[in-house]
Amino acid sequence: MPAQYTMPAGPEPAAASLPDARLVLSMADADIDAHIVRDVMHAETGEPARWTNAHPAFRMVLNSDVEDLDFYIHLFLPENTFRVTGPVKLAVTINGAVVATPEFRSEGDHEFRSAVPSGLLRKGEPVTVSFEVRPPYKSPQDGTKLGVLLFSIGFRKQGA
Amino acid sequence: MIQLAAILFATLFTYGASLAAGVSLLRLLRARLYRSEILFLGFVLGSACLSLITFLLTACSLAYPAVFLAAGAIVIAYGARSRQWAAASSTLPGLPRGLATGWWLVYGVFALLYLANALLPETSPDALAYHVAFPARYLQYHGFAPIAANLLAGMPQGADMLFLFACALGGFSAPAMVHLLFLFTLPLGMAAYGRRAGYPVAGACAALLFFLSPIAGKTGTAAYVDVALAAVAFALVYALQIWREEPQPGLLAPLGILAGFSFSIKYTAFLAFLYVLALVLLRARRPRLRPALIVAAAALAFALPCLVKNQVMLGNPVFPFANRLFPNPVIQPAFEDIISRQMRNYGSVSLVEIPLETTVNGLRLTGVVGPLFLLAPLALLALRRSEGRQVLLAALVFGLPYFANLGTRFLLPCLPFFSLAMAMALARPVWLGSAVVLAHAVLSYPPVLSRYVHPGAWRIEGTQWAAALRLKPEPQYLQQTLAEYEMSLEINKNVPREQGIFSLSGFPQLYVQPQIVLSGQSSQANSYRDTLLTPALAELRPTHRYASNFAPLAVNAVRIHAHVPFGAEPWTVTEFRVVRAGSELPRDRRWRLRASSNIWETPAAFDNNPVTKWTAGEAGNAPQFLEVDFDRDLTLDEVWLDGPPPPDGVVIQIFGRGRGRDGAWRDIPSKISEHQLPRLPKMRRAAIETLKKENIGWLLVSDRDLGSQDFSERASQWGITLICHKGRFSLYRFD
Repeated sequence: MPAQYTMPAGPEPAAASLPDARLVLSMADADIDAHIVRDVMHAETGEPARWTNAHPAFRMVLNSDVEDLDFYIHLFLPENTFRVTGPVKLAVTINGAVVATPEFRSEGDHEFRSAVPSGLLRKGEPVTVSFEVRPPYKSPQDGTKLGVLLFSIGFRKQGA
Repeated sequence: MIQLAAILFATLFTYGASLAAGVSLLRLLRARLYRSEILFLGFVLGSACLSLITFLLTACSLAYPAVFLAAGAIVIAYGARSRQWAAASSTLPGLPRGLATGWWLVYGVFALLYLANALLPETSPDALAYHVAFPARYLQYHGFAPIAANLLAGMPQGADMLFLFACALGGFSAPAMVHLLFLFTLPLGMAAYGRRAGYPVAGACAALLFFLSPIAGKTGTAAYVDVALAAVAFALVYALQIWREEPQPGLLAPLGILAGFSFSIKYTAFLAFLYVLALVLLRARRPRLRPALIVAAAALAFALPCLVKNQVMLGNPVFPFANRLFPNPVIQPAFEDIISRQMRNYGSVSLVEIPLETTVNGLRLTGVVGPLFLLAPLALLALRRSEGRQVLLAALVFGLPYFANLGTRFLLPCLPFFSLAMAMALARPVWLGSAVVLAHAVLSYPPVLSRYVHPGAWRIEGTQWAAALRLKPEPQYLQQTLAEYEMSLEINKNVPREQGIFSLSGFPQLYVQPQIVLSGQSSQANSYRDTLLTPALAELRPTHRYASNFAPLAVNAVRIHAHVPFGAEPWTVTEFRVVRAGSELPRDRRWRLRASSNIWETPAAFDNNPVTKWTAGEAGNAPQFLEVDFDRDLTLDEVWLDGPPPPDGVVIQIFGRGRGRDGAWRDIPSKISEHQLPRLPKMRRAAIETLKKENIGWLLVSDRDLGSQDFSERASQWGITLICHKGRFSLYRFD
């Protein structure tokens, strides 16, 4: 019989506060629920990835310089859903304007970035980022439409 | 320049010691060979001897540069006595002068290209992961240092021992140069074989077909072992051919040594042993058993050391395979199955795609042999002649293991034989053979090669003489070439050598002094990964309680059976609790635990730790079980299994055993209920504390790893401190 483990005593320390000027929303962020507008499935705080449905949308405020930014997304296409859907295309919109339509032709981990047209983003103003998943995966159990397993979405400085 | 001189010295010294050992052995055995055969077979045979000497010195904790230098010097001094004998041997008939000049010209151009690449600072993946990384660690510890939780730790190290010898004298770039020696030597052996067999032009063409092949060039200029294995396999077939022509007793021991050495380079070469033994038994004059016994004894002498080392250090002589026969804590059979499946499905390439992938495309099977090998079916024309049939039989023997691992470079052991068979079909008339070789040379030359292979194909892309000659400093080259180099330097600066680092993804070990346990490299490492990620991932957390309630019953042991269907996720139990009247019975040190598989993790299901778990090693065969024997009667009315939700389709049964009866297990009829468990606080801290007990004190995370964000944002909850961030890697110290 092994020694019995005793959980560490004392209260859980607070997580570090998130930087105000961050450009990327990570699904593991403690405040991610506050940034989700629609179509992202619930998960416990701290989960690194979340399933989206077919039309997820996020809202954020860019408090840093908005020039020379790339749209950025990091997602995962599991083998079992990809086998059914085949290549998956996203129609990415920023504040309603379509900015990119990347296609992912293989299962697995994908990162995508694409330059954001100038003038579309304004410092200090809310920006809505959304995408449509074509085709979504339709769950045979309950018909739920699953989009992608999303790690992070937002913007990155060009060349960074 | 000193560095370059050291690399060249180590290479030439290794060559000299190998040749001296081999020539001495051949002379002692009174082998009658032509001079070019003595040079080729002597080098290959001697490299086997030098490898064994290095192994024995390392096993005796004598892995010091001075010891290797002294050992090599003694071998060379002894070998000098055989110089006259070798020089006095007769020579094989040569090629016509024009052809010979052309042959050497083509050989020379590619030899220079290969030299420039082999001299570069080492950056090839397998060298960084083990072929040079492990010898470097042995040098650091002057003996066989244990390599923690790594499936590569038990791979045969016949060639790696030569790398260790060279590395001690010339640094990390010398091993690739030693591999280059095999690449340079093998075509000379092939040409000699052709001359002895009466096909001088075919032999010469075949030699260049192999030598110019892009995959031979790329592999042979890195510290890999595949070209070395090809050379040993060819030497074995060559020696066997000589013995069949003229059954000299002195060739039997070399046959065994070469068969044993090939196995000690790669397990898949065990077929070489069967091949040579079968042919010796078949062809020997009476008494047949004696020659076979000599071959077997010599083979065992060279194959056994690796098996013994693995048994002693890892509990499995053929680690990382056959883990069902030799269970050990590092690799579970289920993990072995996954790895074997991945190797067979390399790059998700189907059998019909293999010809184009391995000759023209080169991305998914990492490298090409060259488009000329699309003519390989013509090799069947060689079946018309006895020599051709022998060569094709050897191609079959050394080609069979390819289907266990489909990467292009795993074709190398059979490529010399295919080249010979193809050349036998194509080298008459001579102009046709020459044209084929010239076309192969053009198509294999890097600027041309880059025009048709996939841009991501593994290949030589050109030369970088400044870096090769160390006019560009090695650190500068490594910084530009190796994304992990800067972090390696940071690790060496910050982490004490004796402390363990856990990495969630692959990281090259060669330039790092402390040991890194890499996730994905063994079941044990994966268990560390699960411990670490349990707080962050719902699918690993003990969120589910499976409660089995029954009428109060006095038993002295309880066993849980789970029938897990094929293809399902493995059955996992974080905690196994026995309960009476709603309260868990306190665990007693007299309780004895048993499990159907993965016995090393059994305590994890009884340690009250929510971030450790027992995972069944198998699915689909016999039911898996977990058992606790109380050593006395206990009355209980419930059993709880806490863990992640059980896999779909799993059927769980509870059995009890009472004292004084027939000792048989009896099914306990029970009522099942399932509950959600609340998330426990401070699991992150618990995970770090658990890893600390495994002598891991540091965490290496790539930005792309699962949980990387969580480590960064909740470092205080984990109890870790970020020490540095370089490239995409972060290094955390456990507080």
